[in-house]
Amino acid sequence: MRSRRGERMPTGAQVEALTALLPAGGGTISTALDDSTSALKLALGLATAGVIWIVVVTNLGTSVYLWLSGHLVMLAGGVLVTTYSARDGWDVTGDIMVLLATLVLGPAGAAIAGSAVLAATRMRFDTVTLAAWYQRISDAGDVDRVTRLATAVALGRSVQIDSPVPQSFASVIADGSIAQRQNALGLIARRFAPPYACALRAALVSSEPVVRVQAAAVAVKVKAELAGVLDALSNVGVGTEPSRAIEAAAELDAMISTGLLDAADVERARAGMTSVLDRVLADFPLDGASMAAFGDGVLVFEEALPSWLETASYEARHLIETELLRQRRFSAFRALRARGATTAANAAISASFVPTIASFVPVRLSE
Amino acid sequence: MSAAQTLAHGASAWSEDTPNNPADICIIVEGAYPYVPGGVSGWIDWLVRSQPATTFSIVSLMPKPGVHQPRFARPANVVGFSNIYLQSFGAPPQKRLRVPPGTDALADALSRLITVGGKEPLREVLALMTDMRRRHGLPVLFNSPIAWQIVQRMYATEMPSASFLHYFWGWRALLGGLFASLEAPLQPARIYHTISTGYAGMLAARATLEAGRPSLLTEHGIYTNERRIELLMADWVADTVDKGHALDDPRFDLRDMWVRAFEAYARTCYEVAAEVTTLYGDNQRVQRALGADRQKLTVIANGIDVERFAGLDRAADAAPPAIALIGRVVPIKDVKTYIRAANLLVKRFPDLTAYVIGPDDEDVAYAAECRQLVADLGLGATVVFTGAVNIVDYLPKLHVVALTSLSESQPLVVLEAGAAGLPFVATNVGSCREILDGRPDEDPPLGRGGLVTDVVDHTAIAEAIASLLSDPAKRHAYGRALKARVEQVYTSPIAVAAYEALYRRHGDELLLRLEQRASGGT
Repeated sequence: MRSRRGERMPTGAQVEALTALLPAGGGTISTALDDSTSALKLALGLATAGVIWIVVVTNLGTSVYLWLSGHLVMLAGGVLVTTYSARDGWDVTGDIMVLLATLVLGPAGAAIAGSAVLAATRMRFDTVTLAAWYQRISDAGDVDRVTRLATAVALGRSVQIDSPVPQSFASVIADGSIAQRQNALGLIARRFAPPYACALRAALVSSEPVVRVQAAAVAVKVKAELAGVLDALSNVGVGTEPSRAIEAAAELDAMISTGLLDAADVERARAGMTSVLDRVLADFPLDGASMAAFGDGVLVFEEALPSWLETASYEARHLIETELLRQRRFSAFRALRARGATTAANAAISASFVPTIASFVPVRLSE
Repeated sequence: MSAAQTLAHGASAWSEDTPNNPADICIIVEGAYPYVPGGVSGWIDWLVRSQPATTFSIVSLMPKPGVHQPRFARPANVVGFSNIYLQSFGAPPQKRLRVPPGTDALADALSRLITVGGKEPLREVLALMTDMRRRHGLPVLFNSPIAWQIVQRMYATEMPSASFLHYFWGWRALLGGLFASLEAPLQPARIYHTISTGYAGMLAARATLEAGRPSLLTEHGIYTNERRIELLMADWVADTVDKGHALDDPRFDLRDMWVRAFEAYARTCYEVAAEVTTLYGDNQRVQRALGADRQKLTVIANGIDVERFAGLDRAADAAPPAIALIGRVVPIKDVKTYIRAANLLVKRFPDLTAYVIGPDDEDVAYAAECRQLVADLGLGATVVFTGAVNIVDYLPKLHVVALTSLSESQPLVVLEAGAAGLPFVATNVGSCREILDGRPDEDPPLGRGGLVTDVVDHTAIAEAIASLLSDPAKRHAYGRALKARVEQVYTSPIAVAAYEALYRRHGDELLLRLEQRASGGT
């Protein structure tokens, strides 16, 4: 069960387990009476015995001294039971309350004290109150980001920004201690990002068996996660915003670059990426600035850009390159061309539009 | 030694009993025998059955009470058996306990035990708990103001900058297992033999301190390291301190608490154990790094009944190629990598059969994923899941046996295939390389018994298998070498003799001590 903000909500068993420990440290009567089965039993016993005794004494018509002596005997019995409980280390606060009330008011006192104990116990286990209390101490309520950060800083739980610069994972895997290498692999497993893949691949062939075994476990976990991401990204829907689509394509590209995908999955990722980009170009008539941004976006692709450029439509490539030139972003143009210029067609394209730089105006694909 | 030989599906329940006379050996095992099939369970079954004149008790540590179906028939020489449940906290007490005066001292001792470990902290905890155990039972420690006092103090001592609530749940889970190990009645025995550190190791250490009997430790894999890997990767452990990407941040968080506790348990077990054995030499480096005394460390390799496999037929060279992965269908065996390797192989050997031989009911979800992968890759006609079968029925059909595990110690299946004269392809885990290539001091060198590849590398595994499938002469040579090595080093009689000697060593010391005690010596 999760709250609106996604935190895990406590189960009934968790709340009960924690509340079973609530301390009597504050000394309040209500907390001291949490587990008051013994006090209740004592109250019930004294009240019942007292009533019976009153009935017997009244029917026999005997003296008040006999009545009082019975009262004292019952109290003595109660004290004895309570003493034994105390000697065994049990908390006898409730029992003493019952005894005191009985001393003063007889069976009526026992009944009143028993009722008070019962009421206190019931009140204590109000589940709504308990759930609210648990929510509060679990810090699962609605707290704004600044307050959360301030709390983390105050409690020393935030990132230590003055600590030394972390080493790269690749150098840790190569030269770190075993503990460092294991910690790095733990982080890679929990927060995998494609740039960590080279460190992971190095760990897989480490000469240290302990590191190798852990790396293998991490690789299996990461591969499973990548497969899930691949499924999701390959199905980026029709009409996805260009910026999101480029992000998706970039993620697919980064996945290919990890070297952790099977050949079949690499092909799937490549096809997915091409499909996502083509869909963007087909779905969205881009203006010049957007087209340049699109070109910038695909430029960061490490692995799949050349193959996409090979399959991308002439019109798309033409527009991207043209817009880069119009904005006088020649290095970007050259980078794009360098990565995609593998066919004779590229040369032809280049020759056809470079002379038109001066006269070029932003173009929409639909035009 | 063979798990498949003694695995008894539907074996009748083992009744819990305590012998009147001490058993010779009390085996303490966590999460395995007799309920979970696998290498460790098969090994225990072999150890017990191979010494019929020795009496054994078994203490099985399991996570929670429930319906646990034994997977092994109870050997005749098992005279006592008990279960201990590590996450059973008991019911809240009917009455509320007062916090006794020694509670803070107990909290401090527990802190030392789970952060530093060692014989003295354990002795101290046991002494402080004695009165509580006698009067109320330890479940009260989870459900009383005493627990509240202890958890608050330990939190303040160990990790005050982390979230208390997270600490509380971690503390409860961590100490639940510890208290269960420290409270459970001991099976009377002359020697306590634990098969791992962790909670089983703590129980063995406690037995030595309380009963004055020696404890022995045999580690197949390194338990502490396995837990460390799990914990470092686990998403269920909350990070309550943001360490960013720092690897040496000294702030103590929940993950550190868990890891450090298991290291402390290992340290305690190593210190108390009279002797620490493992299956192969590489493990000893890790044991020493975790605090084991070099003088206590010995290696006893696994051994198998070679006669059982020696007379088996061999698959004809002309027969359609057949390979197998023999093992449980669980993630640690990385069956998916084997399936992906089969996917590459079938392109070169279209009539290939790739068996997956082993029970698939331990991790049903993973087994389903494997089947789905087979379907996705269109390998329905190639990959065959046999379930739990007698491998003797399948070895004669095979040309090569493979193991794609992520982690192993000394896998019996390599030895069994070797005894049948089959070459092997294994990932570079545990002692696979030592078995397949031979120890550096092997005299005379017997040659290669198979090929070793990197883990999680289905291409390399496929290439290795293909090289053997396509070269019968090489295949036969490797098979002969592996068979010779198994017969020379890894036989059951050799292993049995080593364990008998181990027990005798410490049993003799025990007898000597008892005699000295009887005659008034120290």
